[in-house]
Amino acid sequence: MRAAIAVVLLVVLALACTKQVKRVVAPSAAGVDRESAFIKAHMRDGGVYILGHWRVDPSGLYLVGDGTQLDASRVEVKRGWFTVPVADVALFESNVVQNSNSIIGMTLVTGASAALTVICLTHTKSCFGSCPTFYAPDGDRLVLQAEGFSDSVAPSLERRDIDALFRTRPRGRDLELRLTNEALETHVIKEANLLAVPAPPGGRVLATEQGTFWQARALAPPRACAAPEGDCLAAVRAVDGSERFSLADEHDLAARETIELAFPPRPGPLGIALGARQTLLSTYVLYQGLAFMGRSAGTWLAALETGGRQALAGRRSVVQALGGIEVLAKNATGDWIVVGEVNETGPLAEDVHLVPLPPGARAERIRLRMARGHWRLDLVALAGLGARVEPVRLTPQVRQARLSREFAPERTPATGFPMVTLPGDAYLLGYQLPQHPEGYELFLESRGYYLEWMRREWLADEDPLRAAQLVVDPAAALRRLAPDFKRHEAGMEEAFWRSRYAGR
Amino acid sequence: MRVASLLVLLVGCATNPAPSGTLRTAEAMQTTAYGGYILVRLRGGGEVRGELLAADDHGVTVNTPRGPHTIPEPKIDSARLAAYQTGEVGLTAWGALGTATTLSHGFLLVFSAPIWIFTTGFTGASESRLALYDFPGRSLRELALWARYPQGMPVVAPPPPPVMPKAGP
Repeated sequence: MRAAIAVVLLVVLALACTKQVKRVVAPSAAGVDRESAFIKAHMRDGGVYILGHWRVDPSGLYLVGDGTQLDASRVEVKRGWFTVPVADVALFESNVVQNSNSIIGMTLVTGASAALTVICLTHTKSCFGSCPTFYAPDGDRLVLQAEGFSDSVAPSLERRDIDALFRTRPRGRDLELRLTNEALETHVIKEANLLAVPAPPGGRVLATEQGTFWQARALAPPRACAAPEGDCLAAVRAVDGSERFSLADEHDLAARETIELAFPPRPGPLGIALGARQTLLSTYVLYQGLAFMGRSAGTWLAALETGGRQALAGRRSVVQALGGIEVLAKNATGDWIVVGEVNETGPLAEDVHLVPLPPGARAERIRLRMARGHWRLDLVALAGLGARVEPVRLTPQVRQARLSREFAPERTPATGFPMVTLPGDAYLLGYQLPQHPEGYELFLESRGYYLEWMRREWLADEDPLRAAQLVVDPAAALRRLAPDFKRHEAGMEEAFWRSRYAGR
Repeated sequence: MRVASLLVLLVGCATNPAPSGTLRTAEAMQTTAYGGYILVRLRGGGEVRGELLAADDHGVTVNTPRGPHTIPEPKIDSARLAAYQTGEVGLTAWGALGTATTLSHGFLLVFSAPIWIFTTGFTGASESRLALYDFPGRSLRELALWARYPQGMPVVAPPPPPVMPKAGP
C-alpha cells in the first residue's frame, strides 16, 4: 500500500515536472500563439516587455497588457499597464506550456501495471504459484512439472500425492529437481521422493489416482473429439501445452459438460490416459471460502483439525460438488457407466493419470464429463495396458537452498525432511537414479500440507453464513458464487495464459 | 536481460551542460527574459559556456563571467544548448518505483519488470533530450529562439556584463 501511495505521489510530481514549452517568435503579434498567457515584446535596444492579459488594440498599432518592463540587463524598469507601439517592437514571443508527450508511455505502463497488481492481489494464484512447485528437466531446461499435495490445505488434510514427471526423460543417473514456494503460503513438506518405475520398451508407465502403476504400450490418440464448442481433437492429441478448456456456467459453477471421444478398436486390457490440470475455478472457490471465513478462518481450520470426519466431509463436499473428470464407457448392455475419475487438484502443473477400463467395457466410444470451465485437457489417449509394476523409491539430498529474506530472515536452510518453506524459498534436490535410467518412468511422490496466508483484502468479504453454506450446501453455494466468478474469470484466465507459467 | 540493459545504456539520458539550478522550469519560461545555457566547443580545443545572449548564422554570443563573448561560426566545432528544465529525474524515480511494484505481479514480473525498465529508459532518454539543441544538428539561427535577445544583440547600447542569476521562483 505504501508503495502504491508513493507511486501515485511520484506520478503527480512527474506530471508536474514533465512539461514542454512551445515557443514562437515572430516580427508581428499576429504571428505568435494567441493561447500564450504572456507575450514578450523584444525591443531593438535589448529591453523587453513581459505582459499578461495582453491584446493588440483594434487599430493594430499598440500592444496592450499588464506586466513588467526590463532593460537589456534585465533590470526592472517599470511595472504596470503598458501600451507599447507595435512599430517599436523587434520581435514578439509567445510560450505555451504543454504536457510532455514522453509521459504517455509511462502513463500507459502505469495503468496496465496497476491493473495487474489489482488482479494479482485479488486473485493471487493468477500470478503466484501455489503449493510446493517442482521444476524438473525436460531435456533442455527446468520446467514446472508438478505441484505437491494441492488439496492439503490443513494438517488434517495431509496426504501423499503422486505426480507424473511425464516430460522428464533422464539422460544420466543424476537428476535434480527445483522445489519452490511461490505463494503466500507456509509449506510443510514431509517427503519429496522420486519414484522410478521400469517402463516397457517403447512404452510408458501410467499411474492411477489410487497410486498404482501400469506399463502401457503406445498411447493412441482419439480419432475424433467433440466438445460443446466443436472439434477438440487437435488440443488433446498429445502433451504439448495446447489445451482444451471452456468457460464456467454463468448460473452454476458445478454445471457439467460432456466431451465425446472415438478411438480405433484395440484389444484389452485398456485404459484411458488423461493429461490435465485445473483452471482457476477451484482456486477461486478456496480463496472465496477463506474470505467468507474472514477473521474466524483460524477457528474454522481448527474445527477441521478437531472436528473429525464430519468436518472433513464438509470440506470434501465442496470438492465433490465441483468434481473431477469422469470417464464413461458403455457396458455390455450398451449403457453408459462411470468407469473412473481423475480429480487432481491444482491449476499450475499438468498431471497425467490412468483410468483403467473394466473388462468388457467398449473403448471405441468414450465420454468425459466434468464441470464447465473447471479443467484444461491436454491429453486423452487410449493405452493398451501391460503389467502392474512397482516403483523404486528414491530419497533426495538437499544440494542447495535459497531462503527468502522477506520473511523470518533469521532462518537457516533445511538440510532434510520435513522442511518448512516460506514465500520465495527455493531448494535444489538431488536424486541418484538406478542404472540405465532411460528405462524408467519417473514420478514425484510428495507428502505434507500447506497453510494459506489470509490476505487483508479478503476480510472485506467476511460472511460466516456464506462460509457455512459452502460446507452445508455446496451446490447452492456454487450457484450463488457463479455471477461473481464470471465477472473475474476472463481476467484470471488471461493473466494465467500470458504467464505461460509451465514454461512450455 | 543483458540486451535490455545495453539498450537502455545506449539510449541513456543525454548530458545536460547546464550547472545545477541554472535552468528554469517550463512554466517559468513564460515570464523569464534570460537565455538558455550553452556550451560551445571550439575548433582547435577550448570551450565557452554560459547564457546564450544571441545567435545567428554568423555565430553566437555567450554571456560568460568575463562578459559577452562572440564566437564566429567558423570557430565553432559543436554546441549544445539547454533551454529549460525537463522532468527526466522525476520520470526515472517514477520508473524505479514502478519497477519495484512489479514484485506484486508474481511470476508475471518476468514480463512486467522489463517493460517498466524499457519504458523508463526510453522515456527518460526522450525527456532529457526534449529541451536540448545541438549544433551542427541544428543551425545557429534556430538556437536564437532560446537566446536572451532573439532579435540579435542590441545595437543601440551594449548591455553591461549581465550575469544570468540562478533560477528562482
